[in-house]
Amino acid sequence: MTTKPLASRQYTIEDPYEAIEFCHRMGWTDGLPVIPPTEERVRQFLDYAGRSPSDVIGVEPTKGKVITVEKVAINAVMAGCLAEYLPVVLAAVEAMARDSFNLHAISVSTAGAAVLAVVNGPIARDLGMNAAVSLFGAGPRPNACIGRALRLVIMNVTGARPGELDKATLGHPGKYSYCIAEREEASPWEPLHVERGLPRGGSAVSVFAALSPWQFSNSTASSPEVILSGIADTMKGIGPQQGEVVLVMSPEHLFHIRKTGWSKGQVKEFVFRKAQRTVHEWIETGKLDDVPAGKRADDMLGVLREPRSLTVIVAGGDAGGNSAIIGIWGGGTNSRSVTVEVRR
Amino acid sequence: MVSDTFVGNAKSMAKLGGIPDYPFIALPHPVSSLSKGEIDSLVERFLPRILGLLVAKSPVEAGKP
Repeated sequence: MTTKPLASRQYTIEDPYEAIEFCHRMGWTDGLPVIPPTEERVRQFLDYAGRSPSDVIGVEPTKGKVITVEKVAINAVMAGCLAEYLPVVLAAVEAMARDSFNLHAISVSTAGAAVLAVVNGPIARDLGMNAAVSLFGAGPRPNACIGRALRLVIMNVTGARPGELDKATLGHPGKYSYCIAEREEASPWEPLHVERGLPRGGSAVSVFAALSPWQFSNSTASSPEVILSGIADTMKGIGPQQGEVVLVMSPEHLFHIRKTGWSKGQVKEFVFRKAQRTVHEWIETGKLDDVPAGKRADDMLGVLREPRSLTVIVAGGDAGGNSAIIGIWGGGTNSRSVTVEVRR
Repeated sequence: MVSDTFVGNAKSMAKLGGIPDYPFIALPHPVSSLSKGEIDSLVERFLPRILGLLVAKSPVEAGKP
């Protein structure tokens, strides 16, 4: 077991239940009980990941918060993770700390985004991550605990606690945990991490500053065009000129869409063309204040800035024509999703 | 300047920045939905305070938000 010194302050509490209550009193939880992070347990996690506790994963630049492996490991223990989840948590935190993700802004904003983590590659299978039934729901430990660890890092390490710095008007349940795997074996297309330039045999995690999922339901249509048009119509509620929108396509919808033989790019092109409204309609519905420069009121203006603004992920249970649209904080431009390789 | 809902945030960020008594102005929330006329009135109301903050020689002289 690693003997390198740990920097965190230590408290001696004999009774484990009192230790759980202590963590609540100190404001270290998301409202649910946490696993008290004992030195032994934290060191087990560090040993598994083969990392030094003082290694810096990243710096949240706005508040200048240095995020060390030790702090991430502590919060992963608290979240209920197993040691083998730590490489994913570390990679996700590294991704969150990138300047382009804008972690401070998304964590304190009234818009109330949460961090959606999407895991790809063999590690998802090895950890038993859920990519299928009840995708965003409760149940599988790795999904629940990896997502929870990210929220605890945001609160406890970067200081964005609800009501203090975090001023979300509503927030959403993803702020407890918002972590899925992509259902790669069900998809005819390249998985997200490959699309983003990483090798197919490797593992990766992508983080998004994500609003709540908006479900699009249609279990009677068999026309790919009708299904994708319905998805495009659902997206209009987000607003115009988004730099990124995430589509989580269910296997049942995919079943009909793959009849077209379309590539992922062609699906994106179709949705881009369908998800349009006039400038006047955007203004009428409060999504635009004025006619943009160079445009007229009767010009069409899309939800997506360009086709590749749509990120398509295949996931969900086998039954049910239910896909989801997820808007991204700041119009998908003020925070950009980040994909990082998971090293183990 | 912040809107008054965010006074806590401003104080936290000032403390994190190593200037805990950094002077700032708290405007009545909300600001983003004000009409041009309402913004003009707000400016007129707070301009003396803004100018005072800019030329104040100390946080004490600047006064409370």
